[in-house]
Amino acid sequence: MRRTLTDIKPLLRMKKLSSKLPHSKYTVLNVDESELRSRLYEMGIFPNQLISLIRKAPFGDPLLVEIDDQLVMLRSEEASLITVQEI
Amino acid sequence: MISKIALVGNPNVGKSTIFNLLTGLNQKVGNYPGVTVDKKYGSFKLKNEHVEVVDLPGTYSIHPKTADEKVVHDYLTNDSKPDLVVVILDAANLRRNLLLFSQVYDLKVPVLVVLNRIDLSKKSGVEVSDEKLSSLLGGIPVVSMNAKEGDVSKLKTGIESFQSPESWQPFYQSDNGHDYLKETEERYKKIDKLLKFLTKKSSATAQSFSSKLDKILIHKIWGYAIFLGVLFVIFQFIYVFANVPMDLVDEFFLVASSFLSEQLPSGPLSSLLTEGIIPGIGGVVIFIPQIAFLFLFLTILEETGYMTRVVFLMDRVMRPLGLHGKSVVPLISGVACAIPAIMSSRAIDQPKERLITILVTPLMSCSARLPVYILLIALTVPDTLIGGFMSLQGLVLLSMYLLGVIAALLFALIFKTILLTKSKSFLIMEMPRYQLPRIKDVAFNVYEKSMAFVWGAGRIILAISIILWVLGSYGPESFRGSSSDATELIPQTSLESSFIGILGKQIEPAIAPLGYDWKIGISLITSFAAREVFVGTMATIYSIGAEDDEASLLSKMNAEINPHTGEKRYGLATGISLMIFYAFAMQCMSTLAITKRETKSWKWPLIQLGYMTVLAYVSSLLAYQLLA
Repeated sequence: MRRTLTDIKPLLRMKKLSSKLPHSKYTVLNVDESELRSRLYEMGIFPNQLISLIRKAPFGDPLLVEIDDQLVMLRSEEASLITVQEI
Repeated sequence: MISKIALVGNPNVGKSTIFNLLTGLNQKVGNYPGVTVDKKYGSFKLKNEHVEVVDLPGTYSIHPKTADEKVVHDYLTNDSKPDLVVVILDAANLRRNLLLFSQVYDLKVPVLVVLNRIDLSKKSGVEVSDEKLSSLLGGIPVVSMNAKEGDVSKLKTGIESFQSPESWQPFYQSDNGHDYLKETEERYKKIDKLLKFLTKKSSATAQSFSSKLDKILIHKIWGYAIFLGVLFVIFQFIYVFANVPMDLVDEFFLVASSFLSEQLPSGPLSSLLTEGIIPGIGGVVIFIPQIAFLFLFLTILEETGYMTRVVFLMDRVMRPLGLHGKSVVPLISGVACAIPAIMSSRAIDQPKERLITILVTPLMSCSARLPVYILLIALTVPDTLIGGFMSLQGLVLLSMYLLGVIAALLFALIFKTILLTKSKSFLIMEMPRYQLPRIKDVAFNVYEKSMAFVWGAGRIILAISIILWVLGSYGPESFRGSSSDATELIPQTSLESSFIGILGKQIEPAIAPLGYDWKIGISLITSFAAREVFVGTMATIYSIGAEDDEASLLSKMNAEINPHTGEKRYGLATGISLMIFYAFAMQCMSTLAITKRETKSWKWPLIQLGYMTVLAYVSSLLAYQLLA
């Protein structure tokens, strides 16, 4: 069966947070296995949580995100562990 | 009876403010065994009984991943655990703060909750009363307050009347095995359930001011421009204002020395006191104004929340060099003085990046190099204008500073490749809202840092000053007298015949290829106490009396002829070579003492001394051989 663009659109929308553009809200789908995983969980970044990308620093890195009205910065390397879906 | 309490909380919840309010000046800083984590403790009186308070490091959890978390975890679970754990929660950020609370609660230790920044919670729409939160948290007593207002009487009453709830039920119980990720998720789920009972209206007043300010302060152009402006202002202040007390300190110790030498009968004891110990103490005290001023500004930038914005702006720039966004502060502070700069590297929690920062910071041209540069530039660089408007001398001075920056970054890169480490670099950091700092907290921090320097580095500086005095006052001739009694030793009349003088002559073959003679050799050795001693030693060697000014030293040095070449001893080649030597060499025992204190081993200060000496020698050799 040929896949049309509409078929894969939801898949396209599921992406790593590091590849996203600022000023959008996302739902966290998954946090990849890594030694930083528990730290991200503690900061409130785990599946089904809301996360907003506020801005990226000059040169595109680090990223500033908002979780629970709190600003947290993380490098794009850390953000690439986080799979998100736009809402 | 409660006699020992511990303060626990997330970073930026106002924990230090509460600690300062409880203990006042009754506080001390020590170390936890084996780690570079400050142990802050103090005491206060409660109904005429002394209560000991330990301010544990701010962490997001007690799951031991970092040194800080391990300290908190171990402290709360060891045998001598506190009678009461005070968990401080930020009312404006209850959700994440409650995670830490729930972990501490599950240790089954007596817990009292402080709900701080109650004013902010009203602004952000969370309505919460002490009783309601207490009942939600299983009967744990809750004290709400706003520490910034400076009143902890409510907390003291709370501690005094503290009683653990009658029943205790675990906040979280694992059903099968231990999975920390699952546990964290479950804890958050339960916290969310609890928070539903606290009415939350949508409101964004607290955040919007901060985000408006951030539009400018972390802007891709304005952000950097403002940061440069802030640095400019800080250094202007340090140079202008620290100079006044530094001159006073200098003057005071000179007067004290000459007063004592007049009063005391002349002899080795008087000489040790007036030429060894008093100048040694003076050499410690003279750094205090700069250290205090630098930490005043750093603390204000830290407390307002601006420093995390600097980390945000600089992290990407510093990373390829093996440094961290947080390395910016120590490196820049190094232009004033490497001692407070290295002390400020504690903010970097990654061990490798912190170590690299400590190792390369002394390459930044500190203010002690300035008098040396100024003397040598005046002596060897022609006072001409380039292109009719640029002073060549000014340009050389600027180049010396740039040389320091380039060397620091280059060696950071080298250390990045050769230092092996297991720890992975990362940056996950909260960016707090902007807020006004509390003056007393700033004052406490400045006081604490200045004292840390005096006790940490001061003793070593004093000891080496005395050793240098012995080596500079006595020579082999002193021991040729008829008596072997130490008090009968004859001090040498000239520096030339002392141990240092002899050593200076001994090393002449080694430093001749760099364009130096034994006189410079002597100065290099005495400069190990501190770089600016170069000028004073030169004055002693050229027998400049106190009544002469620096101009006469300049003219005497200028008239010196190199017997081998028949040219001026202090030509351009020697001048540049010597300045490069001072730019790169580790001639500062205070810095080595601080590096030892911060790295907890002699290994790193020795490596620092080694690589900087080799760098200085090789660069000066190349510079002289190319220019001569």
